[in-house]
Amino acid sequence: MTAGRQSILSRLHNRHQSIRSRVLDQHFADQLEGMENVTLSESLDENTKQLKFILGQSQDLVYRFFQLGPIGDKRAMLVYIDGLVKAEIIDEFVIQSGMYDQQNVPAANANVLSHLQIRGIPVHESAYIELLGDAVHAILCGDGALFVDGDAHALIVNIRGWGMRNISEPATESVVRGPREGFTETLRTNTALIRRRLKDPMLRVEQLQVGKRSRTDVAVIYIEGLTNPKIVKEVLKRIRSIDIDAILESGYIEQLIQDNGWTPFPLMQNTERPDKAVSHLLEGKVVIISDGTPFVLIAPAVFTQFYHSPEDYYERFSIGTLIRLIRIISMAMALLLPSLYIAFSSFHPEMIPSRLVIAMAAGRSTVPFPSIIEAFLMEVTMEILREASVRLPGPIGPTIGIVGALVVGQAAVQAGIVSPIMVIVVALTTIGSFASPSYSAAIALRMLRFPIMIAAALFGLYGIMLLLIIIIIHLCWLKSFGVPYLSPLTPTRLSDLKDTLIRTPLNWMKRRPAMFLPRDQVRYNKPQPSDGEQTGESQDERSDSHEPHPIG
Amino acid sequence: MNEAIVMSPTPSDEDLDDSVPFRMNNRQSGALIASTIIGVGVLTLPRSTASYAAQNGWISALIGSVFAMLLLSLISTLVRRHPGMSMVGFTRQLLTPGRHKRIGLLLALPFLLSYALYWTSGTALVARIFGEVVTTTVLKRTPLEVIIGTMLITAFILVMHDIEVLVRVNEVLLPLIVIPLAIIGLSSLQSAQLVNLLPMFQVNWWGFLKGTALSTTSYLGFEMLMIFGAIGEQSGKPLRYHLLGVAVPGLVYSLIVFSGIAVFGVDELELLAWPTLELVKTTEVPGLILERLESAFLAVWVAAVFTTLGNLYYGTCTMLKEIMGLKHHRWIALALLPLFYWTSLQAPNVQVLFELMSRWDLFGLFNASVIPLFLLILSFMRRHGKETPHPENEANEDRAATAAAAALSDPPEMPMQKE
Repeated sequence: MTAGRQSILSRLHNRHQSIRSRVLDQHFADQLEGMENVTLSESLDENTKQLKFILGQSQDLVYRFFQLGPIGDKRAMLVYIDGLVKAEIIDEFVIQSGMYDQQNVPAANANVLSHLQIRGIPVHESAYIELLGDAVHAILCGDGALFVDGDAHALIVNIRGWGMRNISEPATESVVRGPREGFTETLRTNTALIRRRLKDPMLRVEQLQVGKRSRTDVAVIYIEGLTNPKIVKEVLKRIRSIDIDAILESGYIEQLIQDNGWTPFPLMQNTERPDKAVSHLLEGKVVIISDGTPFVLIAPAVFTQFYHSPEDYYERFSIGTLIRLIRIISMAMALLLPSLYIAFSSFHPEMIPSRLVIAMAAGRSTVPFPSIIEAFLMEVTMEILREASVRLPGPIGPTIGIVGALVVGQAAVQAGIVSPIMVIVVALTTIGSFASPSYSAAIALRMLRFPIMIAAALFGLYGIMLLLIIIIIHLCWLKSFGVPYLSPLTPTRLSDLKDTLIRTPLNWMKRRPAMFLPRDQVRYNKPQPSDGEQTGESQDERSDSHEPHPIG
Repeated sequence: MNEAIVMSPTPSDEDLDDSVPFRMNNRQSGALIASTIIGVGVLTLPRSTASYAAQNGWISALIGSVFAMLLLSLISTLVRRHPGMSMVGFTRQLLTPGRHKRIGLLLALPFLLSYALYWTSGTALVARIFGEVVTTTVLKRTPLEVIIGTMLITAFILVMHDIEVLVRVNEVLLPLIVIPLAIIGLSSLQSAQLVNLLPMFQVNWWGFLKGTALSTTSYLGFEMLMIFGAIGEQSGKPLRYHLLGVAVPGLVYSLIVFSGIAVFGVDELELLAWPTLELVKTTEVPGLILERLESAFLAVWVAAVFTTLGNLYYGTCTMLKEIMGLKHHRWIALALLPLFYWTSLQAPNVQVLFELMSRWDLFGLFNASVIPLFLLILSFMRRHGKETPHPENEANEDRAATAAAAALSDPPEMPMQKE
């Protein structure tokens, strides 16, 4: 195989030496790989031929020939893809500059392009390259490639500019208090959104290309000296090992680098909110941005962060804690309420207060099904309604929701298919699952609801408990990039528990969560008393606390 | 708050590495002991202690926990003298005369098998008692076999995982077990009558001693440290956490016995099959959201039994694995599953079951006291068994010692912050 590839390579080299051989039967991958190492030719015609050979006869590909500068006899060619570039930049700064504004152009055979790069083409970003593969890739990325006859190089100029969405409020994670900005589909905008919030010189943006055909830009962002290098290394290693044709959304990366694909629980968090991404960066995690999607990934993730919302930290701690507790209750409801209904009504009616049990029995008297069928019927209907309202065009969605919930529910009760209590249970379950700030975590709970309902129908509370234990075993087994999924609950770290079920005041959380093993641990320092206020006593204290904090 | 930071186990980069063998930190070993102890015993404890020690039952439960702590400190010392080794390792090492490895194993086998038998029968008995309670109180029409089977299969699922998972499951379930038990104990006091506890300290000494011995057996489970101590942390204060692992169940049990006696009185208590369940029935939820809590209590109790059952199962598998020198215990676990199921169905009725249970307790008391004491004396006499350089064991020991040394010399990642 290697021998074969080498011969192909040498054949490509031969082709470059103008000895055209028939290599049209090449495999795509070989063609690409071979292309990487082919250097450009001095002859403009030869370069054009090669580009046309590789890029084919696409109508959106523009080859613009023109005469270079006042010296006249140099032919030049700009290659770009129509639609990915800004026409004004090409007109004004590439072609106009190239045609008219040339002064002091050196003698005929010198490096015209490197001169142009320094003095001739006033474009902010440019590169002087000699490999054909780089030129092709740059063209496909939306840059322009400038070739000049007699120079075996190309000048890559950044003339990118395509239609993109403006920064708008994220649709999935809305908050009452907090920034309204959300990530967009463009990688550069997204990295800028993070940079704007974090003017840390140690912020690192490491960019990779993933996908053999899509060549998607993927940026791995972390803070050097804070994020544990082992985690960064692992993330980079896993992303580099991806061998797939295309990355269409960050979900592809998530699925290809996560620790375990069979679990219902998300092992990485996705977010549309730059403030959330930054707050996780500051906890010692890594943010992965993929070009073409507003959803960025946060790794590693632990279970508890899926019911946290940025708002918890923006409001005062008592409010944050209360909201967090409400979220936990509502997520527990989303998971357990239908199965508790089944268990209570068919196995443990003695637990329900006696008056209520009479009312429930009266409500159920017309229902022909056992409670498990009743619950399944309603839950499945609710899931269908929910899915339908996502697909429906904007204005109709809520209407269908109301029709579904009110009309169908009421009619079902009157028709005697379900009991009124069941309608309440289903409504509470659905509302509870919407209270989760993370869609991927909510969907895990929605999924697990059904097996627990079956367990409740088989063994009542005992069955629910057994299945919950199995889920706990599973959660204890899970790890995300080496971090146990249930930390800081287990392994228990009391210092990290300050920001888990409750949210303590910011000045209590003096250190970053230890579970992500950050290199820099101090997050908050007590304010120093100002000079005017201090007394003799506090002088001593101050000199004490002036000692440098032990870091790492 | 500083204390909280200091108390937290020091995380290290090694935690991220899968190739570094898992080490259980001190808090986790305490949690493992505590959740193993709390199990089926809690349902019958008030009756059994009251029948011997009468109204002083709760004191005997408290003193029983102190006895259990004494026995545990023997085991803890033994384990710490042989870092990185489980019972199989150090028993063999201590009993190896000269260079005869085989004889060492042969001599160690009776001790090891005694433990293996104890844990095997324990797993089966716990499963059976659990099944009896569930079928007689909550799921009256479900066959006993199904309850035992589902419980054993759930434990089997746990056993198929790595030891790391077992430790974490224990750690995370412990508060879910202890808090409801404490709440039951405290809230049932609303129908307590102080008269039932009087006269205090008026004891029939022989009965009181018997009651204490009996309540010591209800803390059995701490001897799991003989096998799980091998992966325990060496630095810090392991003994303190181990003892805490008995103290927590000790307090909870004493509280339950106290409220049992206070609510029912000794005479009535002796007639109740599952006194703790009756205790639950007397408690009322304020606001009457739920009537009759015993189903809810049993649901929580499932977790308590599960940790006991799972740990016994895991301990048996680990021990057999080490005796046979296997790499993993998965096949042993699979082979033991039908054995446990079959054994658990052997007792013909609950009466015989209780009889077996008390014999099993005595057997356990023997295992948890005489064997560790003997081994500890041997260990002191042979000074770690260093006179018999055993190539394999020595290598083991060296590795463990360096690991321990590294753990000690490793500067703490989270130094105390000055306020």
